[in-house]
Amino acid sequence: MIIEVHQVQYTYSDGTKALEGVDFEIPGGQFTILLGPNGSGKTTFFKVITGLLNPEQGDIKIEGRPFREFSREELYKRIGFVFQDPNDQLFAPTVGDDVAFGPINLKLSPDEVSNRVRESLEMVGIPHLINKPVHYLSYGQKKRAAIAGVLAMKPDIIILDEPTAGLDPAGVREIMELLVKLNKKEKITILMATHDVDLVPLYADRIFILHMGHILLAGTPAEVFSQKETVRGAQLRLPRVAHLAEILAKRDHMAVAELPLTIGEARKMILANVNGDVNAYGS
Amino acid sequence: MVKESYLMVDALAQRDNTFTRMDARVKVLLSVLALAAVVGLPGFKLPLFIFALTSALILAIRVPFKIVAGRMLPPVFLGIVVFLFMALFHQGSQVFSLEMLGLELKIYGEGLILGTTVLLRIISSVSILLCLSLTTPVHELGYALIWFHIPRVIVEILLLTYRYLFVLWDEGMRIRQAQAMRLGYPDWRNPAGWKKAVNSTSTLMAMVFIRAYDRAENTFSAMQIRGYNGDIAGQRYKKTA
Repeated sequence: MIIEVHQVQYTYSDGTKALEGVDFEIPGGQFTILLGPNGSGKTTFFKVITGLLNPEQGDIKIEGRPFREFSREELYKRIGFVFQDPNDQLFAPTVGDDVAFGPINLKLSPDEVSNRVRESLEMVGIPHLINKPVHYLSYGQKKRAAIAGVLAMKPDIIILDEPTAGLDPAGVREIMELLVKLNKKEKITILMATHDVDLVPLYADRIFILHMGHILLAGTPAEVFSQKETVRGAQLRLPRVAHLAEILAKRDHMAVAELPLTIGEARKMILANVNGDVNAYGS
Repeated sequence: MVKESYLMVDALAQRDNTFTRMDARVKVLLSVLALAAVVGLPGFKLPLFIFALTSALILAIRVPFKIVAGRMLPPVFLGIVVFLFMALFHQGSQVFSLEMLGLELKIYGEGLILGTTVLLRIISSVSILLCLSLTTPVHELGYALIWFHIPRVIVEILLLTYRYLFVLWDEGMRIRQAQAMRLGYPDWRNPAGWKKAVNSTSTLMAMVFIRAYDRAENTFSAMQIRGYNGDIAGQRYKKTA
């Protein structure tokens, strides 16, 4: 396990209990999504596991070692955190300067800093914006630049707080494809928060549902979304195609052996029903 | 609140021309020398020459007249006020006098010369700074200042201010538009509307302040995650592109 969290609690100074005994494990190399409605504690949880907030109680381990044993430098070489609003993160006047900030703080040589800036910007697809002032970027470009700033630290795991928030559908697809590429090609463990349930089955290896400071469900998308009532009780919903399949089964008596979560799965289910071979799609 | 022309000046400094391509350190050095000469040396000729030179440069890089006027007029107005005070109240030999509304206004020669000197110094100093800001992006100016050993904390504050000025400007404009759409600024001409508008403006300023504070907290966290140790140190980044 790359990150293990046991019984973590956090209460804000106004008395709001944001996390109430969270247990959480992320295996290395996976694409994990933390799903939760607004105010469920996702951002607080991320700030706790990145050391930005100190939990009142509970244990956090990184690669089996207790969190407190890590120096800040050691920790942030392993864990990168991308904030929801890129304007919070991009503080330097130009894209290149911002991306260089982390490597400079790691006290790397100027050549290595320049290499990392170039590589990171190439990975996120904006090498041409290296000298561009940040305030002239589009929102999607700012998101990419923020990810590049974290990539330049070469972390083992990148944690992203709602990376698709505020993007148009093409922007969402581009960012998600970038994250998949980082996960599959660069072998970086990805943990992201979202409340967009339709994204989850397309990209996640594993999901967690956080609701009112607790982890309600954990597992593969199929395992989690099979618990329909619990998902709905957490102010979330099933993916649209799963909901459609549910209606088709209930009102139109279509045979649904297993809820489809993606358009591809739904297509297989419908074709199987049309062809009268219901068992074929579930296998 | 930032005026639109300030944002425009930044956009002009980002354009590609001979002067924007010039090393920022050279431009800073030339500007400081020119300012020192204008302020320190006596006579009208040098300030006039520098004003002519900077005006030619501004014309050459095709800066819209509105921008130049917007930046030049406030200090020129101040210079004219200083000029009038000097001409009217600096004692010396009287050049001429005129009577207006039963008051005798006396113009003194020494005051006239001193006032003209101050006015010309203001005009040419402002034109030097305008040239520098129209041809040098702020981040390059910051790195040039670090090179000249200006205390780093001052340069870092300058660069952070420059970066977040635009963010806070956007936030302020969004709040203002949201207020305007719900009649937050009804009519400045009648007292009730005026009071309402003042109220909306003060709310806007308070909100921008609160958001600036929140953003500062988040930005500090984001910097910590990338190993911030109290030094932004952008100058050590070796640019390759």
